[in-house]
Amino acid sequence: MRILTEEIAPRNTGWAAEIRQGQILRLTARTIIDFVAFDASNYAEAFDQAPSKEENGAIYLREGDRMVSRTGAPLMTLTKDGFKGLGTHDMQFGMCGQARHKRAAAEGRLNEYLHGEKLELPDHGCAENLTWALEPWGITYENIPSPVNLFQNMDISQETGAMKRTQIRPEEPVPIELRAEKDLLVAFSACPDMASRTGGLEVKATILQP
Amino acid sequence: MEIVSQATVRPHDGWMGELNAGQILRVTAKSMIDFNCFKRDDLKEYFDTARTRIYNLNIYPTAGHRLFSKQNNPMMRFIADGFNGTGLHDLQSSQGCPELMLKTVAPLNEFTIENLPDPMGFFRNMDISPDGRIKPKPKGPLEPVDIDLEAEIDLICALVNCPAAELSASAADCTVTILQP
Repeated sequence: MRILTEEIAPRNTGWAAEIRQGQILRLTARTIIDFVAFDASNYAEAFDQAPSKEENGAIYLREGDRMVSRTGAPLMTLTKDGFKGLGTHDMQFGMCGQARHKRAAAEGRLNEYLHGEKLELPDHGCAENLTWALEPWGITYENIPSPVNLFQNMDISQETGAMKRTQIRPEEPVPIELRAEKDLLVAFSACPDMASRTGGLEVKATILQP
Repeated sequence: MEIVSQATVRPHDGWMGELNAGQILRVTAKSMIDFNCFKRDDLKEYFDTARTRIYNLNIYPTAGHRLFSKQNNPMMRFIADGFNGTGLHDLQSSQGCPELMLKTVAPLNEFTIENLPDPMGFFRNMDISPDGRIKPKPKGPLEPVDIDLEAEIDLICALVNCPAAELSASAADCTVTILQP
């Protein structure tokens, strides 16, 4: 495959790009990535967690699974999962951000991120990163869907439904490859990843032409 | 509590109404109900399944939980769950009867199939395996039970009576009551 572009998104920043049908987006990282996709010809046809779970018959996005829009249109296929066997990619959470962090602090719930240690709150998070990254395309926050949270391995009780954050992340950056099933606008936030002791790391984004 | 209004919603029909902060919405039903709500003076602030799951740190909504908006603000408190102990409500699925919900909220002139938010599915009782596979396992209560939601802000609520195809024989009328404490 031929590399078309390759960029690094530093920790706690956003990134967005247009990608053509058939091209591959490779994200190489070992930190949480909040990832979304939109049909390039109609941004209202955006990735949606619920129909994607129904399409794949699973609450996690796994290798071979598809990200679909609210109307069920295929947007991307996860063709290579470097996290397979280590952890799962989440589709329960939305984006972290200033509003969420402040509420958690006000309610004394910061220990849900990282037990027993004082947490320094970032002044922004994925909600802000994605909003800023998508602003050039005129997409506002309320129209940014809840993302696929790559590398956000959650512990979910099948019986009670209770969710706990984990600190399971790859030891070294690993690749996730997503194939565009149509022309798309894609975007992600390199999450501040407050559940990880790293506090968030950079993400390498490569667009490849097969 | 005083009954402000009461309506019967037949299978494959919908309902929309306004709640003031502090009022209770009581849904009495046994067949699947898809539910959405919106901030009354700003429809772009809508009930969001992901923000609700995050706040409650739970994938199954029930009494004691809160419903949150996309903008991460509280909208409703789930104060009574008559399905507790029998089955689970659902926050994983998309609209079960999307055309019906669109028809129900049409007077708002705001929503299309593309921006209609995902609902809370009362009585949908999805089966989720330890490895994350998910499938419908519809199992409504034998008799109608009450679900009480308290409005934390002024709201517009919408629901559709959308019986599971597998249990269509058990489809039943739903009663929607607005109560003033």
